[in-house]
Amino acid sequence: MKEIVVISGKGGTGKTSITASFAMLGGSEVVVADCDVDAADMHLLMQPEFNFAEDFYSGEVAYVDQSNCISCGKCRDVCRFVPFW
Amino acid sequence: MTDLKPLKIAIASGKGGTGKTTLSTNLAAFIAEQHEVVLVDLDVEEPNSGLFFKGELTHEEDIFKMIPQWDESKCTLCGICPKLCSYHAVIQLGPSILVFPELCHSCYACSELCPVDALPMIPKKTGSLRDFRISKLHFVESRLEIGEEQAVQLISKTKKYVAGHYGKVSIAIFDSPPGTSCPVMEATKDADFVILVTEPTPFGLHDLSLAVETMRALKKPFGVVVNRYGIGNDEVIRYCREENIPVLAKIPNNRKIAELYSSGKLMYHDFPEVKQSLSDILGYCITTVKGGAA
Repeated sequence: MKEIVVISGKGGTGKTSITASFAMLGGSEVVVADCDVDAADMHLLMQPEFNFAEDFYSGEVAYVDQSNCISCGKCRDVCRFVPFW
Repeated sequence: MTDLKPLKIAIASGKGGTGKTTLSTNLAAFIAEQHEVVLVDLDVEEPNSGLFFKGELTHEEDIFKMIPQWDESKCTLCGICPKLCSYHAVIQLGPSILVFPELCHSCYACSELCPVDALPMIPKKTGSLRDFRISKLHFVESRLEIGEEQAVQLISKTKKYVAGHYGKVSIAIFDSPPGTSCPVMEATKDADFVILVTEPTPFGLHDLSLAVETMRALKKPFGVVVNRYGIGNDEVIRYCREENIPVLAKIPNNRKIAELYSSGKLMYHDFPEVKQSLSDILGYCITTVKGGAA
């Protein structure tokens, strides 16, 4: 399989338009992947029938087991990421 | 305006290329006609605001993040560090530990949990910050190193620089990256008001609705500016009405505006209606923030 990637430095330059148009030229042998996962728009142009969907999981989130927590504050001290609240 | 606390306005959008930089630069220049203002380009992967200004460089510095450095002489190859790195930034290859600086989030876990202190943290350049002055306008921009994946830390450090140097300037405008993920959250989370720039197309609408969800999750007051108004359809306006989102301004789709933008020029001087829109936008932000704080 040959893989062609369409990218741009700047946003809104026409990646989706070019990719979708290009894909239509390839007929039924083409697989198109919208990897702009922040704001995926290709489906608005291609209007595909969805035949499969799944959730994606990555990373892990700490869970506080309140029954064992002694509120020592150590977790807060070692966390380098300022939370949103 | 000097009696106000510093007003932080972030300019964001779900979709790229909708006009964040156009609005940021024109709004900042408009304010700078009368007041001191700082414009901050937080779109660190592709900062463009600087193209609209020719100013005097007043400060330049490299920005660093902390990464682990393997100390072979201390390491016992116990295998703990590659197992606990959630970002796969530390791996073991035979008798060596390899660190991938671009993947490291500087969480310090490997360094602090290494039983023999074989992974001390050292600084690594992740980008650079530049500060310009153009009359009453201060312009700060940061650029991420090519290949570097962690925009968030650079954005955070740029905001700290601005807070440290321009805390007394009455208005700060933050040109944010596009999208809805961590860099946008970091760029907007401390703002008093967020302006979402969109275009009246199905793509603009789709990505605007994602950006709206993001701002609602952050509990930020926000409004919408519709750029290139006149192309596409009315769906964006209808959506804003149904969702009770204020439309702060509509910037017309106009060939002359596009030409000015394409040659790296500000547009509001040539368009009284745009200048009026900038004034309206600023007025709305000030009233909303002041009203909310009272």
